[in-house]
Amino acid sequence: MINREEARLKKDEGVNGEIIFVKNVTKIYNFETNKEIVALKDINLNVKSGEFVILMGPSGSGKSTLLSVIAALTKPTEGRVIVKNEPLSKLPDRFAALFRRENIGFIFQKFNLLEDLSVFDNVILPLIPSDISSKLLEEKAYEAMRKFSIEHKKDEKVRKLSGGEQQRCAIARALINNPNIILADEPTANLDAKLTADFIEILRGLKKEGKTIIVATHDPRFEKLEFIDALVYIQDGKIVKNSAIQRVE
Amino acid sequence: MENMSLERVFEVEDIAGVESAYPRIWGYYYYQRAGVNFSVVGLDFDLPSFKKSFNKAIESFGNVRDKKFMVVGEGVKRVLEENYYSDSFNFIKPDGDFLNLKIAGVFKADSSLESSDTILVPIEIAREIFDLTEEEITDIVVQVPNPLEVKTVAQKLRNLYPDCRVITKDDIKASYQNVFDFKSGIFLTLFITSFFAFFILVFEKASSVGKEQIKEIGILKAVGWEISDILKLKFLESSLLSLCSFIVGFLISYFWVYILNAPLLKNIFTGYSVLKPEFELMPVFDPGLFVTIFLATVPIYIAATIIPSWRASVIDPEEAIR
Repeated sequence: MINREEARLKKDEGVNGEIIFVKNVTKIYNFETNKEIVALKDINLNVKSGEFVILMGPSGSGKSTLLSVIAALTKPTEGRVIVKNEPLSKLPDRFAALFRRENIGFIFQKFNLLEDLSVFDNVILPLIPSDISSKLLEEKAYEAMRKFSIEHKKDEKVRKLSGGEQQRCAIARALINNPNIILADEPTANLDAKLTADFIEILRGLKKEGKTIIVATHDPRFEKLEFIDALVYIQDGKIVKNSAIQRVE
Repeated sequence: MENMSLERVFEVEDIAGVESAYPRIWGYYYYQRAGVNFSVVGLDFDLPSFKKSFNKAIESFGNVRDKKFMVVGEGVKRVLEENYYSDSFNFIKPDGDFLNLKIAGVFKADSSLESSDTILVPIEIAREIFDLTEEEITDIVVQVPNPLEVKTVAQKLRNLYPDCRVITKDDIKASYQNVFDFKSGIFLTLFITSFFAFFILVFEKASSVGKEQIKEIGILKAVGWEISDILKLKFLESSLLSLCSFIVGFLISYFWVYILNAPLLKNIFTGYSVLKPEFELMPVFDPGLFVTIFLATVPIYIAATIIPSWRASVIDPEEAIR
């Protein structure tokens, strides 16, 4: 017998447990102008619930664009993106925003924090449009800040934080809504080796919690992680290699 | 200019259309210690047309028999008090003698712009101050009951006495109006300049969106804000900012004009008369003007914030952040 939570999770997934479907996606910037830039060409990618996928490739290969398409931060020129059974690429802006707020945590390469706001104010940003009480909002914010060891800097302006602290703030913001899909775009590009190791530990913890994680990076250290499920190589907007990691349970 | 003979008053009274004519003495008295001019006006207080108002002005003053008293404007009163004259003042006559006059009353504050520097004294006292003989006067006050005849009588007087300047009530009003219109023009210029600067600012704000603003909106969308959430935030921000600015601006201007007595600005209105005593500006609140300025600033500023925010919020979050 399966419980209600499991039933809900099943409902969001495909027949093989896929939670993200990327079908024949092409993304062309400045479409139908003489400055067209083809960022993605006919991409197909399926990600199962709870998987940890690494997108590898050189700069400008299309990794970030693919993450943006999955997160509905931009619409594909062609093809479909289905996340948790929602046709995200066809959703109107309003519903896409709502979907993102509830289901996706996005960690940006340059963190994209609002620098004039405090850590606390940045962390609560995704919750502000929700109809939750200020008490619950505060509780969630403190929980997220505590989890990523940034609580002691809660009143500090973000621009005064170190790179590692900014990243922990960005992670706390991305996860405050407890999304089950986490997308990270070059998350260690601005971090030193120690902070990169710390971040990898955070990812390990999130994977254990059952989150679906996609990390776009060209940092070779990610290739060697023992808890990744798939390595996808992208070059010139095309997937050139998709190797699922087989593990002996 | 030579003074007139008192006989002219009787001649003027005989002109058809004139109901009555009264002698008057008018002149500036320079008070050196304070560096200000007082306008001294000497009138016959017993004349029926002045009696009532003078009795009212000096009702608390008992000793009017010896006529050594004066009714002063608020500005005069203040200048005298600042110079240790609380209830009387010593005029220095042309022959060097002192003439001590008691302050019998003070004009009401609501006429302070016109009467601030004025000292009203009995006509005999004015003669002493300006060293005039009993036969000399400087002005004649002419009363013409029919307003349609005023111009004709004025013309008759000009013809009869080409050495005199004939001024009707309308002339005085017009001359004040001209002075204030001219000075209002200066204010209007300043006002239009400020408005123009405000509208340039608003236009600039409405027509362009800064990269930082686009990025900020992109980040908000990326973390799950809908366009309506962003516009709500921008509306609240701009409303709060413009309302606070409006209220603070209103309070500062009120404080500037009525508490600090409009330093710098008042000098534009008083002009050459800076030598005259200071006067108080009476607080006036015009709801129509208040609403007009509100409508011309606050909603426009809010719109100038909302429109570019809306433009930025329809951009793909990815593009906005990039």
